[in-house]
Amino acid sequence: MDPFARLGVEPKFAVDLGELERVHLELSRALHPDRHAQGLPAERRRVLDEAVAVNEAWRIVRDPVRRAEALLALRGAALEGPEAKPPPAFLMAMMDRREELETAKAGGPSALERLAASVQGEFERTRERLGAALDRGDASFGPATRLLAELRFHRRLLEEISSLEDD
Amino acid sequence: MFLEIHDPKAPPRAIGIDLGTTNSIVACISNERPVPILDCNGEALVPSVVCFDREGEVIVGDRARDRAALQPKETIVSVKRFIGRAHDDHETRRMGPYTFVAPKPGESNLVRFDVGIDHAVTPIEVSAYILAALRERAEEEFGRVGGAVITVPAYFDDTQRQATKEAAKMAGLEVLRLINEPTAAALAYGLDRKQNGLFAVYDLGGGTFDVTILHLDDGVFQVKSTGGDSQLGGDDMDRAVAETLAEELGLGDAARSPSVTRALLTGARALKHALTDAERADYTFPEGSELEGNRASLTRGRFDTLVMPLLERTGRACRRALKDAEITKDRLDGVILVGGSTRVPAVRRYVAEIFGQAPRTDVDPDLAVALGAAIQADVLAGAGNVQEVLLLDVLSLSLGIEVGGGVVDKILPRNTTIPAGARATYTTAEDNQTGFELHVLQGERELAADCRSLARFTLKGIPPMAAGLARLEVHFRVDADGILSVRAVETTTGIEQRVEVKPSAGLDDATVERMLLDAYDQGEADLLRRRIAEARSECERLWRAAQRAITADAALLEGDEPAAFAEALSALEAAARGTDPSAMQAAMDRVDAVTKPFAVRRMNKAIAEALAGRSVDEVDEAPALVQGASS
Repeated sequence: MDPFARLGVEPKFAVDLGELERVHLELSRALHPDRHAQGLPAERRRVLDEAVAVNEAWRIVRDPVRRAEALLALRGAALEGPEAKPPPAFLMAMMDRREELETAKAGGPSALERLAASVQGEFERTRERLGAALDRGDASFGPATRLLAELRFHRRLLEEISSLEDD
Repeated sequence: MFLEIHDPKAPPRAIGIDLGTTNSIVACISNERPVPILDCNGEALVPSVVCFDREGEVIVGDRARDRAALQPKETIVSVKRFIGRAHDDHETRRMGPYTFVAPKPGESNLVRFDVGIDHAVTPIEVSAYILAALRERAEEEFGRVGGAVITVPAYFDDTQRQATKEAAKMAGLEVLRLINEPTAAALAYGLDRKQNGLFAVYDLGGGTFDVTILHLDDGVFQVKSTGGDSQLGGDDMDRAVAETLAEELGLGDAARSPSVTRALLTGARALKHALTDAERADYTFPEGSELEGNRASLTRGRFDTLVMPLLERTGRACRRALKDAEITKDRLDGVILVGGSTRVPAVRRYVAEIFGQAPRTDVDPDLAVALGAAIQADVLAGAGNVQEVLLLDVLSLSLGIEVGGGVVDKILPRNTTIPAGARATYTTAEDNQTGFELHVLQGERELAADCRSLARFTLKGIPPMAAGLARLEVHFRVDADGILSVRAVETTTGIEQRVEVKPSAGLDDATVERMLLDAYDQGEADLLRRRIAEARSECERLWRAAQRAITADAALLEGDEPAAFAEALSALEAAARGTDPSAMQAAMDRVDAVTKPFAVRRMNKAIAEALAGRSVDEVDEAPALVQGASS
């Protein structure tokens, strides 16, 4: 399934999120099963399939990691393999981050908050670079797949910090 | 019998029910507005209390509440807190003055009360009595009831939702949908004031807490996130106060008979209510009470200190809901309070602090949920009495499957908008592994052992191959009712299995029917009559749906369809006039089969119109899944 086509939006990384919300609401208004609760059984089944697919496409397109994955998949890029491996320097930086996380755990909520803000900053910078790499339309997928792997790493770290903050 | 004031031929009307921990309310749409249905004294609230009288009578509501002091063990108060709970649950044990029946080997371990009658009573049955009282109140008001929307705490899990549905079925109600309480409240609030923007609903009831962040946009109510605690509410405030009262009166554990516990809780509740307006409250245990003549007093300051730990638990859920909605509190356009416990001044202060703004006070915290349920019932029944409303709700708990090491892989995370679908791919861990065991779970914890188990099934018959070669695709789908279905396919061989997800602790149809017979002392004949009535109203609905579709899209009819439809529909009418439910089902299946191609053409047209102006090269069919059973 091409999630961009499903929503009728242009397949690129720089998505206008406000516009995306508007499109989703508009499609929901027309296709939500509750709108067809009094329909024939086959209509209800058909419209449910469609609403599920629209919601799934919306979830993919609004999420930067999954949006990048979908774009690369559409262009036929391999998301695994040696090309997608982040460079050693990045892996080193990430190991440092892990150590910082351990220190921040001991440092309590404010230390975790500072670390989260710093990782968030990196996440956003990586997202910018990934977006640029994807929307330039490079013939090589190497830079984009590597940046995507980095973005996933930042995301995981943010989730970990967030779950620590909840406790 | 007095004169029938309602027209017996009037079409059935849908109702909304707030089945609360402390009080329940039934509402309907009247003159395009949701209104509560009142009793002859003008009272909307029905206390959610059921008393099993020694003479064999079952009493519900105000009169039952009056019995609680005299018959503490036979009068079930706050039954909602026992829904879907195990009898040996720590929480269950400290909930009140009840005697529980231990399950025999092989029986479910759900709570059952010993109320001194010939059979043990389940929370489902107790809830059914409350729902039946509400249904009767609606029937007295306007005759036939045509389906109900019942609200549940957003944080209710699958087992608790299923139990609520079973209670409704026992009470003779057709459930159009269960909707989440905070969402229902927002529906009533937003529709009334025609406001757009981002709102937080803080819902602290008698026994449950929910917080929901949602976006209102011209009749579309889109839930962004929801969170809460299904075991936190005003009852816990009462218990905290009752503990201090017991200490002050020098009552050790040994002195806590069921009547003493009930008397303490009643006193605690009275003090809590008095402290809403007063800085200090006194209470004298009344005549006839086990603690007759004793006095207790409490200042608001002391009360606030006692409830603070409970409020902090709600605060954590609020912060998480904001984070999940990806907003900060300053983006909120308003905070709405729902649930009787939000009358406590300390709660209001705490909410103002958490969200950085004073909560709105222009909504009745007791009525909003039931009114919202009535609105959604009207929408789902297709009555069209209210303006266009669409509710986009979310999963309140994550759904996933167990993978290696007992860890849960979340396939549909919490706060995913429903209807929803997702898939995940797995492979074999060992060489020549010929089966996959799938364990479906619900909850936020990392380990399967800490989540609610919904279903287990095995995909068998995979040919032997090396570890890591098999490709198992697991598809999850949740429909607009929140019903989950799961499909698993081994893609290299095409071996496939589908499963209906029924919560492990749910009751099957046969058990419900047996309980119905037991509870209502109805004969088989009554049960059959009811099944006929249900099938007949389904036939009527299908008949109307077909007529509407044919009228709206006559141009899409092809070939001999008009004649074939007419024939199938008159067979349907004939079956509905008869008394055989299975013949009615067969006639309905026939209509479904005959109208299917036409229905699909109609929907394709609607979908094309929705996408008009957008570039869609293909609209492929999503995988069809079996219908699950739970919500």
